[in-house]
Amino acid sequence: MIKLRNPLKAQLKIAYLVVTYACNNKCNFCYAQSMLKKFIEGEELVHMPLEFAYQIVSELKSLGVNRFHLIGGEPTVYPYLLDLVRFIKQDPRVYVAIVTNGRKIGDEAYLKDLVDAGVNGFQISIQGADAERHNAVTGSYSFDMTYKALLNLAKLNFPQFSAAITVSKDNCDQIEGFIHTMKKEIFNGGHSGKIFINFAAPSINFNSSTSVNGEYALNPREVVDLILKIDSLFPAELYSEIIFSSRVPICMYPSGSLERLNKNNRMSAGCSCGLHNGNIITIDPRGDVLPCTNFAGTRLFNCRGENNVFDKDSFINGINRYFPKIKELAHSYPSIKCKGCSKIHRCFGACLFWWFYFNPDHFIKP
Amino acid sequence: MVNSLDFLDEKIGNRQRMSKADLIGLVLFKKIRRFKKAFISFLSKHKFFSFYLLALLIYLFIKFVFRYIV
Repeated sequence: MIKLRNPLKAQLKIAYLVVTYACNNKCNFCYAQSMLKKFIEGEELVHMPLEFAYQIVSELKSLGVNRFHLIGGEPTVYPYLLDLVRFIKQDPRVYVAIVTNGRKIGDEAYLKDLVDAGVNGFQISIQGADAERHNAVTGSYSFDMTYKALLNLAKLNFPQFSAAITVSKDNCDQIEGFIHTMKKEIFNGGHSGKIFINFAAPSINFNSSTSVNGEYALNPREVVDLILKIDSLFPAELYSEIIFSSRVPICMYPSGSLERLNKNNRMSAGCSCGLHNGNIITIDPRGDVLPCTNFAGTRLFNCRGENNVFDKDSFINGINRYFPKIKELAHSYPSIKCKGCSKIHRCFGACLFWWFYFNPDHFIKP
Repeated sequence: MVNSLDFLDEKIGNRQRMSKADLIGLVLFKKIRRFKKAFISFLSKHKFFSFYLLALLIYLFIKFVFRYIV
């Protein structure tokens, strides 16, 4: 019997289950691109086995996880999605959200099945204000179905859904148009939905070597400028749906602006960095445990034993062994300028992935 | 398969570790935020009990004011 060194029950709260790395889009900024390539080449297991998923969910629930985010790849191409959602929702207090490109949710019958199974929230990724740009960024002809998914959710008056754009160099000029379209066509009837503006961060590139790919990403300065521009163009009183999600250093915001954004509930509390907090766990289809979703292509340890059975001992041992080490590494200053900063406890020096590609000393203020 | 820890160590292993004071601030901030969240969620889940508690507190406060101050 293995005894936990730290009571995980008090720590783990959120699980990201990468149910599959397969996807029907080919977004150029996707952090899981390298994994998708491996699957196409037939190297790896595509879908998470259902029995294994059940075992993971049961174990995580017993450890206190009460929020499950089903991600990918594209979770709606996972053949057992409905079964898995029903299994998770056996306990109605547990929250289940799906992060999807919405192509299959464009089909009303499938959406109804998911809602009936108990899904609590949908995040629909849409990558442009019009079909031309969206299709170019996603490498597919998917705009119509994605848009239909949003219309379906609005028609259903589904309480928790969002239209999420991931801003990169390829679509940063379309945000204003995107917000106008969403407000006019989707969020015009007092729906509780949100317009999520995410910013693409650099990702791991395993195509050649263990390097980081970030040519598509805006730099942190451009991110802050864009957030402030959108905030001034679309006042919170009229556009309360807009939420920004980006972990850039707090010191990059001009004095008072971040406070105003927070006061207007415009900054997402999401991505509260599991590396620092240790309250988030990500598990991929092969049973690999990752520090966060962006680490696709690496793994901390594996928890899938022989015959696709969940290996509880490896799981508990792995968490006790690796999570403190990850935390220890993450608890460091990206720049010496962060030392003694009064806001470091809120900021952590921003998402680590920015600094795998950009030089922190060029952006962080003394 | 590359280990995430090795990857992270390669990228940020030579960074300066956070000072004790900053680490304490980090932990305190997290604990306070967690408590705040739990408290707000409790209040929203148990609205009637919260109203009752609030009413009771106001009543006790007024009683205290009239008894000892006025």
